[in-house]
Amino acid sequence: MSQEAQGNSDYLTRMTWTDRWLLSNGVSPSIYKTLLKTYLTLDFRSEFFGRSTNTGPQSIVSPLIWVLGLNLIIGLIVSFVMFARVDLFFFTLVALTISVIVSVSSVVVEFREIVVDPDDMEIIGHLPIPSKTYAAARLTNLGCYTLLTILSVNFFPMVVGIGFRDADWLFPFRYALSALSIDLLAVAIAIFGYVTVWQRRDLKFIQEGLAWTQCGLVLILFYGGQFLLRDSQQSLQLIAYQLPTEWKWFPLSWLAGSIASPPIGFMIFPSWAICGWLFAAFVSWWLLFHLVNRCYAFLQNGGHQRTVENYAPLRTPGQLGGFLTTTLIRDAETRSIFWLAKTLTDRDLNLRLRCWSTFSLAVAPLIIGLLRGELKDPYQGDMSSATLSIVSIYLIGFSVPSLINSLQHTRDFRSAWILESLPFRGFAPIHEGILLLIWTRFLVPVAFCFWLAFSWRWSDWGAAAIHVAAGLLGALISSYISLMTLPRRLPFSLPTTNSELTSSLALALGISAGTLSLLSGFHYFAAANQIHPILILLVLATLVMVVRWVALSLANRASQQRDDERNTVDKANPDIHGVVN
Amino acid sequence: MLRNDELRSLKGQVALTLGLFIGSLAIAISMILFRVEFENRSGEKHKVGLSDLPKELRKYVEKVAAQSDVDGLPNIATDADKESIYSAWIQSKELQTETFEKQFARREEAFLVARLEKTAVTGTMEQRRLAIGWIRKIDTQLSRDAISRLRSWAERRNRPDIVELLLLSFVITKGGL
Repeated sequence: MSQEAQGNSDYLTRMTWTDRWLLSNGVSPSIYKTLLKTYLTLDFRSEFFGRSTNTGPQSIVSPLIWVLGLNLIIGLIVSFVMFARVDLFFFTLVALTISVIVSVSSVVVEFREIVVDPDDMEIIGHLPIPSKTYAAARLTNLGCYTLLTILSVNFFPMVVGIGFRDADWLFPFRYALSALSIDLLAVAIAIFGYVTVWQRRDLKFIQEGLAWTQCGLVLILFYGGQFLLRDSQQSLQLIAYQLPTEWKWFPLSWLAGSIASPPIGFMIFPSWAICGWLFAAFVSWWLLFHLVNRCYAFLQNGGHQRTVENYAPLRTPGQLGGFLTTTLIRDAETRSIFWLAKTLTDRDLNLRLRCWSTFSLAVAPLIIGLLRGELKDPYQGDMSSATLSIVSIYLIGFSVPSLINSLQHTRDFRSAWILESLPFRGFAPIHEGILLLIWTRFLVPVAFCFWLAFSWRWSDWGAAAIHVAAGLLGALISSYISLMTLPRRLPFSLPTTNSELTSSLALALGISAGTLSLLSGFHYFAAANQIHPILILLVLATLVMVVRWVALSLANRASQQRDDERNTVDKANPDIHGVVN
Repeated sequence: MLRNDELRSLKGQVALTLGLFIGSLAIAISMILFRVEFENRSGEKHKVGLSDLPKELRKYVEKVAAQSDVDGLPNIATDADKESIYSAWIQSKELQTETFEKQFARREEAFLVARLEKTAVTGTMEQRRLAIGWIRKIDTQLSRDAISRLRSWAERRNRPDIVELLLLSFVITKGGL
């Protein structure tokens, strides 16, 4: 026997049975293992979840752990709200539905990183990696990621389900198999859809949005759960008791029925329904393997054109804003700050979602008030049912400190040099520009929704408008307080990974909360004593003027100090203002 | 104790993930152990007692509780008023008399059966006992249907205590009031 043949024989002897199985399927074991290890390590540092969870490469708690934690919280809230209140069928149905939503959104968000990544071509394209090996490694990675997601979102329902009176000790096995089959099937369908229908479209927007699914679900379930726990009508129990017959047409209810009411005599596999779903999941993943294989072949042939991110072209220089902006904002410096801030906000969906989420505290009492009928007009007598009406509008202002803080952090923070290099008079126009952005982009739309809700509830749009205007004035006071309290930094000058709760933000939140509490108390007693709402508005408007004057004076003083320290005031070039005009 | 750089490594991240799941398991098991607390947490909250009823409603209730023939009394206009009377009944032993229950059921059967069924589902065990006790006395098709629904629901939820209450009511009150 030659030396080479001896070596091959030794190699084959050392191979494990899995290696042999891989080899028999055209997969190279050593390359497969190396690729898989790399992909599994990279799963901990995903791009989109890293943004939505504000975690960077140096964070101890990686994006994956944050996402798993959020999934666990979703399962915990679902279990906490429904445990011992509804029957096992309803509990299983809701838990499975949520797990499908979470699993699908997780895979779509991380499609590029866990299914097919065009960037792989630059890294491993020159290496002799068979497409089947690549597909197998990618699919195993996808399988691990999906299993971890499924496990995390279903963990609490699976364990807590044993505690239901109508559950037997085999419930966790049946539930685990069902969740596994339906989630794997849903993920496979989502990937098919993604690859076949959306492959050629720009999905960054959808991915950025879906990355917030978990955060959004946690918020909805947290506030919705609070409502359900306090609901005097016990709506949840009644819905579970009198479930509409249309649910029978919902495929997940077939599975939930198989889990909750197993036919007698079956052990782990209680019915053909679960076996059928498992078979469907297996077939879909077998097809998926071939699809991923084809995708890699598509990449190898050079069919993929690496996409370069191109943002929409900016407006022609000299036209900072349209007619309305130019007319309403007379000051050129404020207008240019507003325009820059608006442009940077518009191109960062993640930043916008982070900003919108700050209003959850104001929206929650509004929704709870609407559902519980406690959103009455304070000028119509019953003050006990009008408390939420007053509290909710002043909570709009409580969002402002977090909003201003969020606007200091963006992934495009390096572009802050544009602001830094402009010869502004000081911080005053920066403050005014940022406030204008907050008003036009966030506060006014939120206030409009509040106005719609109050108008519908009170059937009096005039009273609703005055009521919401008081909330907006409160928000304006909170804005100026925040600008005084928060560090005077340029907007959009910090990376998102640093946007943790700082002491200055805590101080701004504390002072704003105190002021808004006082204002809402004043509003409450004024309404209880039937003081005309216009008078309340006048008092608030006066306060706004005072706080604004103080805030801008302090801003100007701070600018003066900054300029003195740096000694970089360029008074010799006034023409620069003409450029930004 | 793992250092920060160790925690950032793959091994550390896997350890953190495991810790997350072990902590979750502990919470889930404690939830199961405290099931009784969860069950006691649910229940209807009734704020209106007999003394809190508006003057007119109180007069109406007293008449219903006192006289055997209530045909001459005006109907209660709103469901909110009916709900107030129901709250007063569930809170006050003075109203839990056969006369009141019989007369009120004659006048407001549809509302009452639906309301009692709701209490049997969402109330505390004591509220359930009261509701099932009253619903069993209303021997009409509506109440029989409600008892049938409640029984299948209680069997599905594996609540022999509620099934027992419903069965007991069927045996004792055969023929109703």
